Amino acid sequence: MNAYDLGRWASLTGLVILLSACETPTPPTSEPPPPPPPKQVGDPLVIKGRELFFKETFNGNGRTCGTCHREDHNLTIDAAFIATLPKNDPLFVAEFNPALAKNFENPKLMREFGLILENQDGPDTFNMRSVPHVFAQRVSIASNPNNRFHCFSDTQCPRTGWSGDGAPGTQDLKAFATGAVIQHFTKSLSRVVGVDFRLPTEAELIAMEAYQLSEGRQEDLQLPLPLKSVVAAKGQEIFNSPTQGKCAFCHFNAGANVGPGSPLGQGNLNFNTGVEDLPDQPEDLAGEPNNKDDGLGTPGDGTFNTPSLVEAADTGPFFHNHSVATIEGAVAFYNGDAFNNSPAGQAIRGGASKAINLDATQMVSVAAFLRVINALHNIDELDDMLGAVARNEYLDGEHPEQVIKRSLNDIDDAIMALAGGSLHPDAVSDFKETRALVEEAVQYPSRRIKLAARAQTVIARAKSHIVS
Amino acid sequence: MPLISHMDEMRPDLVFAGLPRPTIPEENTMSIRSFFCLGLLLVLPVLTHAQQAMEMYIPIGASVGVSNISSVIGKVAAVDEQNKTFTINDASGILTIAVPDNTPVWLDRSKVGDSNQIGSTADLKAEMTVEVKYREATRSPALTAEWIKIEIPR
Ligand code: HEC
Ligand code: HEC
Repeated sequence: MNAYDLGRWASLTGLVILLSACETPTPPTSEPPPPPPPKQVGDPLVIKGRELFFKETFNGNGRTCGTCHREDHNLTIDAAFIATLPKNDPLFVAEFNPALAKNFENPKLMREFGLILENQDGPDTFNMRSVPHVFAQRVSIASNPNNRFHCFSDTQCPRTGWSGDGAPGTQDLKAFATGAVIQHFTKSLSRVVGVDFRLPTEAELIAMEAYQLSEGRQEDLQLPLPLKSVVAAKGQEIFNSPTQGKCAFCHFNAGANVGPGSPLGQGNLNFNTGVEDLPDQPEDLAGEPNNKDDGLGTPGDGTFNTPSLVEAADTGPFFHNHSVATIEGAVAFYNGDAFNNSPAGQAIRGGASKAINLDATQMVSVAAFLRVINALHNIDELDDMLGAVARNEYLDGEHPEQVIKRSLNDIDDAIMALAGGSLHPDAVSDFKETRALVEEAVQYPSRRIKLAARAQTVIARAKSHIVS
Repeated sequence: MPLISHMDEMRPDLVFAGLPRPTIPEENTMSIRSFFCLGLLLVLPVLTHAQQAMEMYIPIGASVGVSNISSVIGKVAAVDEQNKTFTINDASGILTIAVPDNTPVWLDRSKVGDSNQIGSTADLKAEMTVEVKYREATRSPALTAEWIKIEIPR
């Protein structure tokens, strides 16, 4: 090697060293100190309720409410998520606890379709049901139907569960939690209190109710929203139209309640929309027993409780038995025979030959509307989460370090909801930018507060692309 | 169907109050009418108060919001099979409980550490401790059972 070569080699090496120095992230020594301990804020009852919901096993088989209503999965669960769980997750107790091997769950339907066994009508019979998200309970339980079938009293008629009768006793969220412990937490099918599980105390029930009521929307939307996507705006128009989509008859303001002045009563009512008459239901396809689910009451009247739609697009599959996987498919359901021949379909048919008759473009635009309002719901959730992190506060008892991690789910949901419908590429790229900021905040706790504040401004920009 | 006549008096503006499209063409009034029929379809002949299955596993006295609020707990004094009633001796006096057909009856075996079971009115015997959830809004000497739990003693 001559002097020239040596010099060239040296300068090249120097260049490489220089370049690699440029690529190295800020050395840890210059990293600012981690943030001070976060502030404990919020309603102590909600904090207590959240802790019980996600941690308390009530001396049972190891499950908690959060086993099925996952905090990191929109308070619900589906087959794709189930596939990511370890074998020993308490969701699968029926697979590793011999006392629960038979008639407690159907592992095949759980793993393939995300279905849970419910002894809705007594110990000797069951139905397979999907896990509803438990968002927006504050605005999706109270009902005042004209016919008082299965109401708790003349003045109280809470509707919980897919058929509205999921709870024993007072039928409210407190009673529901008691029923859920007996149904899902037991160590054996004998379901003996004090042996197989313990009952929640009244104070625990009150706290869990407070937590559940605090989750998600606290009020209904006010439609129409000034949506910027022309497709979603068209979808909203069809959704609200009393001659086209007719959706607002039952899902007023895209929520779970009928509109004011409905002739059937007020609030969160039940309808027989014919989901049970769909061909090729999960049980049938899997070759598993399919007891016809008769809905509200014992014996049932065939009706199911109206779910809220704001939270729908990222919580599929849809309906009480997960019979439809996509949001477009769920809208298309209303075009098909099962709905149009159902009591509800017949009742809103009017003079037309078919109650709801939407063409492909119309179905897709209604779905686009549902996708967009779902993304707006994600933005609200994100704003709560990122706001708490930016203020360095616990969120209902959850440490900002966890909150910021969990916010990634809502960002991904928003991206999925919009990109899945080819909607709002502008907002999608904002969500991707938010994701990068949040990932950095997860990686570098010392920058968490600042990055969360920046992420908040980016999601505000995303929102401004969606509504004016 | 006498209700049909009321349909013409229905105010579409009320039915659609709050909807963005307040003008209701003829076809809509049709759909409101038929929507009203839905009400008829859903009304069952009897206004039953069914209850969710998990109630049977809750021991006597442990139903939060129900026990001793809209239920009575006491000892059976006498059973009148013919009239489908029984009486409970209560601190406030004698209560007569009517038991409509198909009223759920459960055997509360939690005291013996065993699984609760579905029972029947034939299991009702004098001296047994029972909890009766009644249908009436307030407690009075004559009540109607919605469900009955019978304690199986140790
Ligand atoms: C093994 C899974 C599982 C567990 C554990 C579980 N749930 Fe659920 N949850 C479900 C299913 C399935 C439904 C639908 C039930 C029905 O249709 O009646 C449901 C429905 C609900 C609803 C009704 C929501 C609505 O919109 O009407 C509430 C409230 C609820 N659960 C709360 C709880 C609470 C509180 C706990 C813990 C005490 C709990 N769940 C534990 C699976 C579960
Ligand atoms: C007659 C009342 C009624 C009308 C009209 C109606 N729905 Fe529904 N909707 C329901 C009920 C009840 C359910 C639950 C059905 C079940 O699971 O058995 C439901 C469920 C849904 C779901 C599934 C939500 C979930 O979380 O699984 C979607 C999506 C939906 N409806 C969209 C629509 C759209 C879009 C329209 C208009 C084209 C519409 N609905 C019209 C009553 C109605």
